[in-house]
Amino acid sequence: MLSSAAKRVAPMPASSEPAAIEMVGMNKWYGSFHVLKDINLTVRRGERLVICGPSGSGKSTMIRCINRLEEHQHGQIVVDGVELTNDLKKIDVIRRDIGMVFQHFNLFPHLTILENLMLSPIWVRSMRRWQAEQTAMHYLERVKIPDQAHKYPGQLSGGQQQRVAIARALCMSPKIMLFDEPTSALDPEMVKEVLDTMVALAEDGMTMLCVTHEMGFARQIADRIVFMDQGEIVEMNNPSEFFSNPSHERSKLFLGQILY
Amino acid sequence: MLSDAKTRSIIIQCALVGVAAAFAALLVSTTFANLRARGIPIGFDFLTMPSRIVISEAILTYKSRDPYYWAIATGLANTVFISAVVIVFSSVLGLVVGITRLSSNPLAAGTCRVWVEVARNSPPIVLLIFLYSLWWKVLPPVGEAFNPLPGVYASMRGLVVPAISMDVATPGLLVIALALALAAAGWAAARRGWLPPLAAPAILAVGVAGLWIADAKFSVDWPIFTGSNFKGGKELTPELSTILIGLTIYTTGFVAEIVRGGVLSVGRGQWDAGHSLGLPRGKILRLIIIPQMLRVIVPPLNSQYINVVKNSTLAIAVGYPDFLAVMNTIISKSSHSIEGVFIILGVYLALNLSLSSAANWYNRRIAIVER
Ligand SMILES: Nc1ncnc2c1ncn2[C@@H]1O[C@H](COP(=O)(O)OP(=O)(O)O)[C@@H](O)[C@H]1O
Ligand SMILES: [Mg+2]
Repeated sequence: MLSSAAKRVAPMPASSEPAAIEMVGMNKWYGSFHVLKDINLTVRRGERLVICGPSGSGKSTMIRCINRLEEHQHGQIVVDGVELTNDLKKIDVIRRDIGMVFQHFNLFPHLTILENLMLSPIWVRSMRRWQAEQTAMHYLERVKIPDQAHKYPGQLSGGQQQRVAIARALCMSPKIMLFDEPTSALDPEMVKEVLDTMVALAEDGMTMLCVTHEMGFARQIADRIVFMDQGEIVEMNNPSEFFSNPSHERSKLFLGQILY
Repeated sequence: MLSDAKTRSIIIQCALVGVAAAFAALLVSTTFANLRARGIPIGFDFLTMPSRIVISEAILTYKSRDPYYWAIATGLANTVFISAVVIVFSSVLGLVVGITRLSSNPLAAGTCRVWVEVARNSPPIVLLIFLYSLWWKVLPPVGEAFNPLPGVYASMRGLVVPAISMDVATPGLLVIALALALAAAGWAAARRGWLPPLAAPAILAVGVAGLWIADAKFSVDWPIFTGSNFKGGKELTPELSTILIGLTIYTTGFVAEIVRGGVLSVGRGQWDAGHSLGLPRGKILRLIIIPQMLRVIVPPLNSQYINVVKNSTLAIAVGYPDFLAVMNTIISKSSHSIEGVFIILGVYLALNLSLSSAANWYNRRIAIVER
């Protein structure tokens, strides 16, 4: 569908309201290594994007640039109308509005589940303790583990920990959620509980960018699938087109590898 | 029977203990026999006799008519005082220096690096002798004292610092101590769920009430320069100042390295999680990194604290009467050298074992809960 010249132009969002995320001509280097090459991507509000591609293709780096866990060197990233620059205030504002879920959960092991969830509402949103606790319990119920509130992360299973991580991000009422391979570190029997939580979130209309190789999940919720290879966005398409009729050799090869 | 691992291990241990005991008994009996043959008295009776030794400065009140045991206590108090001050200051400074070394500001990081390298690579005694010589060569007479920090003056005569005093009658002190102990116990019990969470604050309130009833007056006594002298505050002699500052500079270097290692030992994912939640760097450090780092750094930090106690014996280099210096004088004056050496060994052993058990207790208390 995209010719190699046309692939540099991201499909414009259908509606006229401002985009949730807009990346224009974004490039990043690690030293002399060119990790991200001319990334152009616009994500509408409420859109669900699944990002896939071989290991080392720059998927993590790209979504980490969106909340400035990594710094890009060239081009523009605009989140919710605010451009990411070195302005620390703007970075903090943007980070408050973006939740992120990591492959290895990154829960705070010295705090209980409840304390993990209450930390940023208290220290970033200046909520009162009782308010933060109410918020935390609300989201723990949403991810269906309110009974674990007073345990420590080390006492929970991987699937439970990842659901806590999702709840922790939700406690900041983010407008956008980023997921970086949220099920890759899980035992197979725990993948479903985490994916179910994410599906529920998608059904609530959350703007989601999700790096994952769970193709069933991608088919179910994705509005668009972004395929990356060697630091480039190679193909961007709706799921049915992408799976049945990938337009690029590299996507075909990749699908062939992961679907069997 | 000898092939049973447990039995064999018991037999071997018994044999080892027996050999060690026999050796010790031989040593002791020979020593006693020899000393008695030379007419040298043995025993701890001398401790209650007047010492008549001079201790140039002391935290406790000491007069040369006091008995030996009080001279020992005076030396011990000096050593404990030096160790405590150095441990507190080098912990705080080490935390700051260690974390600053990781900052992205090259000037700040570089300065801290120089501090660490100087401290780690110079023998502490050289540092002390160098600092001591500075008092006479660099510092001005008392009339033109430096004022590096508010309320702190440095001159040839030493340091003058603000003194904090608590003015309270002894029964009041007992009430307070009791209340604090109860509050600590109540807090620990509340943490384990044995008492309702309000128990500790309630007990603490009783303690504060006790303070109030005992009419405790806390006051900070700021030094005031009167033209030829300082009034108020606490004066530290150049000797005491040198040992305090020198050992603090030295120990801070080591603590800073331990802190730096501790910060680096907390994975990058914790920073990522903190940043992604919108927490600024300082709060991530305080709420996430430092609490986790403490678990890693307490054991190596404890060895540094033990080193502080051991290094406090370097006070002898600048002529400050620490425990070892006092014991040396006592030994030469009383000629009870064997007993003296045993007291010295016993005291340092006791000091360092208490430090270790405090560290162990703390480490157990903050251990991360795992499945
Ligand atoms: N901090 C870093 N320094 C240098 N190279 C890095 C760093 N992080 C990632 N890379 C490199 O960048 C490339 C993209 O990494 P990443 O975004 O993690 O890929 P993916 O998530 O698609 O597997 C990889 O080749 C990786 O080795
Ligand atoms: Mg990755």
